[in-house]
Amino acid sequence: MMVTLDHYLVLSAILFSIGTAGVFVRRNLITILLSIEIMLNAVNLTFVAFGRALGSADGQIIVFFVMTVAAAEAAVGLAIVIGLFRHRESLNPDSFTALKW
Amino acid sequence: MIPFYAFAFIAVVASLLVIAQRNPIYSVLLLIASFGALSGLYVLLDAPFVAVIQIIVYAGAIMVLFLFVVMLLNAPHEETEYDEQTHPLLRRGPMRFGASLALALGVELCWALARGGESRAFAPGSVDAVAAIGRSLFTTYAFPFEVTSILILVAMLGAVVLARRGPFDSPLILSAPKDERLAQDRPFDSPLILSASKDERLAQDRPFDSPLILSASKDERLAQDRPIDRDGGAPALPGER
Repeated sequence: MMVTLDHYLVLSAILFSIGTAGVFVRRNLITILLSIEIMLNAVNLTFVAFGRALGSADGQIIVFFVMTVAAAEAAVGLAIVIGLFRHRESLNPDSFTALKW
Repeated sequence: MIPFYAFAFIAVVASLLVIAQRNPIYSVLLLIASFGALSGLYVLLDAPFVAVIQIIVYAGAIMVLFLFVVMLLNAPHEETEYDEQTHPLLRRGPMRFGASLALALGVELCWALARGGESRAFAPGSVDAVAAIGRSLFTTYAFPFEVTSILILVAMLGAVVLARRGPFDSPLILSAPKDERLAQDRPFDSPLILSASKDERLAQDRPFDSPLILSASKDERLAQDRPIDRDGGAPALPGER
């Protein structure tokens, strides 16, 4: 039995669901950001698998761009986390219900 | 076959443990393990370029950034007593609802993907990955590539502005250093800002003030709409500079 495209797609779906569950379940801002990274990586795996199945390099180029966006998102998100932590001494997203204080 | 299942097992188990750990440092380290397994999967998919930048950029740069922030904040545990006592995956209420939603999403995706007809096998030939990527990155995708550089620049500026205590104050203010003991209980101040004068340091306590307000005179600042003043009505921030 060969490893086919569906194997990779199902694996990617499982990883994406794990990331979604992390965003829903956890109450720690850093873990929520990590769960978003899991979801981005699941999407990356889908891109590479489809690119391999179609014999095209475009999937890997999209992965390159996704990684760039992930890096920017991580930098800005962590800076926001640092700013929030300075104000409230907390990482619980339930503490941050006001846009301005 | 065997390598695929081995890497897939590692990736899934490590990702599950990422969201099941209480300590964010363990979460970050387990996510690095998961990225390693994904990199192995990329190698199996004949994508060595993606596999290498997965390790270098993701595990090497982004995760180290996460580690820096986790260690800098030094708040490794959950906040409330209830969160501290229960396992992260076994909580009641809306979290269980969210977890069941995520589980439903996973089952649905797997069902939708696996119910297709014959399983599509990969074509035997592989892409000449790195050369093809480099060629089309600088021809077809040249414009998105340049936009990417602007995105990185903007994100870098945004991170610096957001993470600084006084986002719009110049760090090169080197006045006479008085009140150094006041500066010592602000662990995130940069050493250049520490030597600023007292009024300037008061100005830096409000990181979200706009530069226009900070540089305006006192009357102009009082005329601004400031419903909440956190420092108890000490807005003595004349434009000294």
